[in-house]
Amino acid sequence: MLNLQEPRRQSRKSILLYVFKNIRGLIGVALYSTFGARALDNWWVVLSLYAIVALLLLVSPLLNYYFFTFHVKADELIIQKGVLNKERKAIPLERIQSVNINQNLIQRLLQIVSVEVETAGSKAKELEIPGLDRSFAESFKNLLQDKAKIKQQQANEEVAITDDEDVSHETPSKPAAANELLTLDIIDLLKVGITQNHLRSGGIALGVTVGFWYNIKDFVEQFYGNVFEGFEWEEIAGYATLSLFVLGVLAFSIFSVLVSMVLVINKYYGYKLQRQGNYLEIEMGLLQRKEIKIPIEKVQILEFHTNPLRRLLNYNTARMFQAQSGSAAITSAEVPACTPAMVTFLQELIFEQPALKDPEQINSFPLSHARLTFYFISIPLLTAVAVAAYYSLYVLSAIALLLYVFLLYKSYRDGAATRILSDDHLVVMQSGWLFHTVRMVPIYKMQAVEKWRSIFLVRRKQIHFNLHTAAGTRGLRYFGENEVIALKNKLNNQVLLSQRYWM
Amino acid sequence: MTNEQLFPVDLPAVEDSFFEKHPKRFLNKKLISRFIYFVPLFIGAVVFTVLVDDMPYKWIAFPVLIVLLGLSLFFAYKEYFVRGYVLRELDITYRHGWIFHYETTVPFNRIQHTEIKDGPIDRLFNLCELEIYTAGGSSSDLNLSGLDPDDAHRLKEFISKKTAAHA
Repeated sequence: MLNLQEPRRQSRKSILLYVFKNIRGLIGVALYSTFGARALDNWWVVLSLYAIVALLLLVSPLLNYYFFTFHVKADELIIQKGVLNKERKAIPLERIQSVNINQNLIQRLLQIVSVEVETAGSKAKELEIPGLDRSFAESFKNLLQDKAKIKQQQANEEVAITDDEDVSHETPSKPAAANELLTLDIIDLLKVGITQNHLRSGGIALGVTVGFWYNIKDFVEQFYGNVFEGFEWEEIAGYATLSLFVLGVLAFSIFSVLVSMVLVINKYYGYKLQRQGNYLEIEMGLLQRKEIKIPIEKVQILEFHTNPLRRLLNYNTARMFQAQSGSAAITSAEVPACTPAMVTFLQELIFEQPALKDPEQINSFPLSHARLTFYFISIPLLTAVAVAAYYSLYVLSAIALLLYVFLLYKSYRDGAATRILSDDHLVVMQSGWLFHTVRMVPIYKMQAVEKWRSIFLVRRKQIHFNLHTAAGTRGLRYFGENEVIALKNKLNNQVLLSQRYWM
Repeated sequence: MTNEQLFPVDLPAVEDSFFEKHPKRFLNKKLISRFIYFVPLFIGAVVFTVLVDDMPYKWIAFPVLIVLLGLSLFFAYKEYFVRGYVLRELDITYRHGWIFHYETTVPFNRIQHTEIKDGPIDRLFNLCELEIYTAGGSSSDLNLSGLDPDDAHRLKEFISKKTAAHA
């Protein structure tokens, strides 16, 4: 058993971690100031400035280390930090949702890990202890989780005594035997990588490249002069032939595929999903190793995403969402390469119910989806068609026209695939034609139901539907008014009568 | 004390209930505060026309601003009449918005806490705002602006009592 009564510091190696962090900042400063300081004649001023900055950067890690303490006192985890700005954070143990262990590249070199405590309303980075020894972190994590569990059970029992209705208890924690559910080897990873949404990863990569280029542009121009002198956009338009276009597309797709492979392998390398008692544990990552631990009963929303390529392999990506606060990044855990068997297994595990029993189904109006797209894309795309035709670039014109027709057709099909299924326990929202998405929310975990519409839908008697849970809002559009009213009242009334704890 | 078994199907629909309106002075407050938003813009436009000489059509800012002000007042006016809340035994429903109309129902057993706020213009009109918070982010929080302070306190009291029973 760990002794956490007294405030204690992190592993000594965390000093090095802070040093590394500062060095990263220092490189940026150095780069900018060398180029900026060339104007200055007296170099020793610059040098002494450097010395001061370097000294500060070496001293601050020591101070950071010295003043960062944590301990558990009276059922609260207390984290104290800061040199000038003292901070003291107290987290009641029963509020802890999950405890994650992360390890980035530097931490791996130093053989330390960071422990991140998640609560329903916190920014993740705030409750982080960045430098702990591996074995200590493990037992710390288990200790926190056991204590949190005990507190919660006590709270539940108090509720149960005062309630006269039949409260469905959470089952007491089973013997903690790790139960391996899914591991991905390199072949699986390649499969996942090749079926990524390449368009998106290509786009992201392009964005990063352009952003990086704008950052270093000034330096490059200073040394090499203007690389693009005499480069005009009109010439590009003049060269726009079919072969050039095809070549561009080809280059972009190869580039995108490569990028998504690298991203996937980096993210999911050594992926392992296992069940330990009432928790799901996920380990993954190459450069930045992540260990995520989620209490099963805290999963609010379960989503399955797939795309046309992945459907060929029968793979889904599952996402589990826990309660979050508005400002924090969404706390979700991913399970890539979910086979159909895995999909049903996860459903059963999380919702204690494999499938819907005689579900009621309401369908969206596909034409309304297409109409919305028509309003949004008509002006830009039809203008593009006309402009390209005016400059006799008929190929571009045809491409824009095809894109226009395709987008309209796609939104029609998307609308046709949009529907809400519900029974007495579960709501399932399906949407997407090519990128199929299934979202599942158990009814007792809902916080609010909402219907909304724009004024243009009143005459058509159509309305949108939103579900609010502690893990965020999910909604679908364009349903019949009466159907949504019935659904909203049905769901709300179920929540009213539900006695289960939902968070 | 009765303890009859309840079935979700038997509970009434929200749509059957009567939606409580906000006090009439809330409309006045809305209109006036919208008007106040436009004062700095008008001052800016006046300063612009006085300072800049050599620009044709420099007065164009005025009709544009007047049209915008008119629209803004019109929206605020229309919006007042679709705003309202229903308080039932176990939940609260709020609807608002004219162009985009929302109707949200939050059960008392999902409410975390409530809060009463008022700003200077609110106080001038003897109004205040009741915020109802749920867990996890702001997406399902209700914001009942423009209530009579007495009503707001009564509502808050009622909701807190109901919430405490579920906590």
